[in-house]
Amino acid sequence: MEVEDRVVRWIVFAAVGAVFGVLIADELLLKDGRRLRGKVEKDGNAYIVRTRFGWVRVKADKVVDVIKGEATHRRGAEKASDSLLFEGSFEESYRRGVLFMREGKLEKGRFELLRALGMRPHDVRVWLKLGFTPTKDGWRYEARKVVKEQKRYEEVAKKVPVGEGAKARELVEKGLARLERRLRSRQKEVIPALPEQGEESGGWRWERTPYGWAWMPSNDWGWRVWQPFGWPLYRGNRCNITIYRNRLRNLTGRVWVGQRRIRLVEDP
Amino acid sequence: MGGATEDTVGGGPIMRIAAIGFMFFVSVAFGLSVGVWEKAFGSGDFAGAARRLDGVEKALALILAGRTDKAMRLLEGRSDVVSLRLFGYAACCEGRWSRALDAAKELLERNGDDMEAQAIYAEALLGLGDKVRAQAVLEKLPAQMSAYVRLRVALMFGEAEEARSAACELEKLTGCAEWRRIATLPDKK
Repeated sequence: MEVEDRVVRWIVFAAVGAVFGVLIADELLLKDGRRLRGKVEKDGNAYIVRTRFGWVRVKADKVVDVIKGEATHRRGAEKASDSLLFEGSFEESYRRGVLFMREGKLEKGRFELLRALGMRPHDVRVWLKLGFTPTKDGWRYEARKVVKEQKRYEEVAKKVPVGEGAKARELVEKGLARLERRLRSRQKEVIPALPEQGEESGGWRWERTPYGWAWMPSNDWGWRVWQPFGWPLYRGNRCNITIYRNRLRNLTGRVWVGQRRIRLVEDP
Repeated sequence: MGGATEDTVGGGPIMRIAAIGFMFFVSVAFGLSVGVWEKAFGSGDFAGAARRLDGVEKALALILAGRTDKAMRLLEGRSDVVSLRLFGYAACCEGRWSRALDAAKELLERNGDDMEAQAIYAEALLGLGDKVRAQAVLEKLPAQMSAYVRLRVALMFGEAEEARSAACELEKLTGCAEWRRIATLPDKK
């Protein structure tokens, strides 16, 4: 029982120490009797004391003692600092990083490349291997998720080349058909725009074909997928598309279907 | 015997809870620290990673997040090699050429063959307008580093022709088409 009590006490002390260690600052005792409080770091033949107001560098020969306020066991983050030692050969780290990345060991690869970057931040190869893109203002990182999302959109968003009206039309029709499928899968109904709904309405017509009733793009001035009355008008459900065919000739925009909305944006 | 049973019954759960709690605390702290970089690469939030990291790694995370000014402030006064390199790089990004030059000189005093130090030195010299000496240093650097240094300085000073030639060189060396866009070059036909 006594032994167990002691163990429990030690565990409690350790836990309390770990928690309150965060709050305790280090102290630097100087030969002239002054005490500097803050985060003390050893830096070659000197100490740096960092406080929230700034930092001061004190030569080691002016220091009598350093009292560490339990700060050495401070944060979990400190462990991460130790984990990345920017030492060793740059070439070695870079080569290993590239190899790991090629093998699909992303974590290890990034670790090595980060180490290499810490040693040589002017080396563009490392930045590029880490997935950064150069920009005028520096390097930009597109996270995996962002890249994935972009790829997904790129699949549905096609650039319509200038002067290729036929292709543009094909794309729009394809997009509309996809949109229709999407809406149908949500048990919604796409109703063809009626002429009285607007001058340029046209759109998809419910036509009788040799193969039965089908949605056919009309030859009217534009296409429109009309939002029928009764649908809840919240943003995600909005579906109102008007594409002016006369503009398709000079169209260089994109057809977006991801948002259940097709917008053909003209270049300014 | 009866006493022993009582002991186990009374002390067991407390011990277990305390031990599990402590292990949980330790593992959570360790897990968080290890996963900081991975999370940052997953989400692209390097500024968030910098808040969790410390020391040189924090500075690196800040540089990756594009906060070179903060990184400079953090690394100020440090004299270890890694800090000086990162400080020099950050100072170049911020256009603080004289600070970068000091860092590069200190690094070169320790190791004259340090490529990063030479790159910082060359960039600082270019920034300060000493093209002749900078050219001599640039010649010693690997081609892609030399081109990158020239591009950075050219962009900072708006020298279109120099930026264009450096970007073309970088495109050839790295196979990345973005360089051309940076130097606002017309697309290849």
